[in-house]
Amino acid sequence: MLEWIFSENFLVNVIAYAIPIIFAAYASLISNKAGISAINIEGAMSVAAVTGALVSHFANNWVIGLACAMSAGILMMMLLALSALKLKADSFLSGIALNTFATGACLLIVKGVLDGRTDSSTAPSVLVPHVNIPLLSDIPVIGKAIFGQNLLFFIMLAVLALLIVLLNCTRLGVQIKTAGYHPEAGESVGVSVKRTRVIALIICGAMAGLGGAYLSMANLGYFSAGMVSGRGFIGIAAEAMGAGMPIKTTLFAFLFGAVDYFAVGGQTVLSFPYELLNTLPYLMTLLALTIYAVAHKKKNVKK
Amino acid sequence: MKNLYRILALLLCVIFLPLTASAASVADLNDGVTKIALLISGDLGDMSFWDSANAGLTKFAADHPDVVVDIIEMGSSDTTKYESTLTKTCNEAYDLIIVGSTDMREPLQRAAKKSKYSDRRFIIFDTEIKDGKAADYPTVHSIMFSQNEGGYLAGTLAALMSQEKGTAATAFVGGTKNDIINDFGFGFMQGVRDANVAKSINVGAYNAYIGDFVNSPKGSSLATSFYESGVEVLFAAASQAGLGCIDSAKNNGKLIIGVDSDQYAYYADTDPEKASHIVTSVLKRVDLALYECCEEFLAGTLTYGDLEVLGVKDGMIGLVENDNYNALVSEETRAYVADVTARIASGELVVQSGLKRYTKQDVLNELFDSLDPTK
Repeated sequence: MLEWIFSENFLVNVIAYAIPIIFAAYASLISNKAGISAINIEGAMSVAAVTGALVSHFANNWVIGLACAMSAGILMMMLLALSALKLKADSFLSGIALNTFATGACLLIVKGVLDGRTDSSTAPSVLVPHVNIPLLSDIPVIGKAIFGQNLLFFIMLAVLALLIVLLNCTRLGVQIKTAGYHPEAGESVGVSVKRTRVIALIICGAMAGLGGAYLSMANLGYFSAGMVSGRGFIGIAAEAMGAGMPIKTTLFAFLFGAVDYFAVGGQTVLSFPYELLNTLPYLMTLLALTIYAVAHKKKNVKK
Repeated sequence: MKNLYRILALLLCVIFLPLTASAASVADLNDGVTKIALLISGDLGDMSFWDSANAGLTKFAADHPDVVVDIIEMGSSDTTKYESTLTKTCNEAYDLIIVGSTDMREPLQRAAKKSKYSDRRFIIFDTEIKDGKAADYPTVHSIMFSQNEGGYLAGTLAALMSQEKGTAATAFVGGTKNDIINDFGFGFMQGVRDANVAKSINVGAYNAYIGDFVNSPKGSSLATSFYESGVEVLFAAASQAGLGCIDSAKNNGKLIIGVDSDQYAYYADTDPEKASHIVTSVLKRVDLALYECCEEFLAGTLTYGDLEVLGVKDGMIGLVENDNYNALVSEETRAYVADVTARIASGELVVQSGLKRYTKQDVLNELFDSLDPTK
């Protein structure tokens, strides 16, 4: 078992599992920082996945596909902005409604475009390429996992760096944090909270779009209904555990990806009942959230 | 604003009153038209099970323009709709109502017991209305498929091909551990076991389950981990999630056996590269079975209160023999598989069922474990 966990294969797969969760966690992070919870990340990811798959196929170009997937994610978040910010509806309820809407919308889009099919595997996506950095990718164990990854892995690293810079070193970052921590203070110095939150949701939508695109344009070569399978929600949980810190969030999302892959890959190397393995990701989430809640309570008591 | 609410309330009343009125009455069947309804308790577009049922009924409607055939898609997301849709369909003037899968068992058990629907006739396919109790429902014809025989053929083929390619193991990927998938899997393992004995070889067989039928990325990574551990050809019975396994076969340059419909033909035009990795598919001719039942219904020869089990001997289960199969599989292996098929059809070779009413889970596990290289 240990041999398997420390193999190159394991690491490659864990990273593949973690990438969509990490993007979802970033999406959740930026919206939470601005003080609006976007639980429709799941739905935005699936709409982005279907858009990316179909556009890249028909345009025969992954760049256009990726751009459209991000736009689709942003569009879904703008629907949230419309109902939660402009029309002042509850953001949770709007989010739930948008998730349900997304499930139907994706089926409708695939069925409409591909003549009654629920997956786009007959219209294969143009995949986002893998990047192989020569020499470095020959390092044993971590070489292929880190330096021979899909381009979206490197985009993810870049996004992480940008997030840290954005939140800590820019005016917009401060405005976003103000909108989350103390909106009245922001308003009092002339920063429009609503405008800031819309900007945060645009970034959030783009992140969700990248996560969705990874599923249908890199991990698999097509879209199928239900392929996001809760990865958006797991991302939100990872962000909660990471307490809004980009690096911590990334690590937790990575951990969730690792457990998720362990449950799948474990079946092929361990003699463990699969039903039990399949409960691991959920047990992990439960455990993590409990620890998080307890730690949080202690912190609050100290105050 | 207040006025608006009043108008809305009024409108709702106007819309729903006729509906509630019609729901209570049962339409008379003596209207001179034969009407057949097929209720899809899932999504069309799955390119296997439901599409096959749909194709069978669509063909029947085309061949019989005087018969009204309605196909009602209930979707997979809201199972609470199934019973109300069935009741509504029963109230309308349908002479024959066709439902499928275990999801519809209990709703149909209740509907068929109601005396007001005693003139309606029902078909339930891919399950028996109640295990061993088909005779208690004198208006229901149950159809089951011997998918264990299809699994057996796939297992035989996979074992022989693995041997030819010099690999130590093949693999079975299922959706969840439900009765139908167990039947496929148990058949597959028997196929591998018997091929090992007959050819004095020693091919193992992994098994793994995705956990549902939609998580295609998971299906893909499961298949990938098998391929990376040396498997050359595997069999996936996991509906849509199984399409992820086909994606993996293409990416890893390995082979896969498809399920339910001819998945090679499905991809042959749009993605020939992917199609070339699909050795063959285990066919389950839901379309043909339903078509023939409808014919019998029209002729008045369809029997009720019974269970019909369709398999290789009826031409309802089998492997697809297309160009790709001929190109990828050696002549010797093809001849051997053809021989096994003939022996199953003649009844000389009996494949044990994996359904829990016939075979205990322990027996299943024992065979799975004995072939599993990780055990």
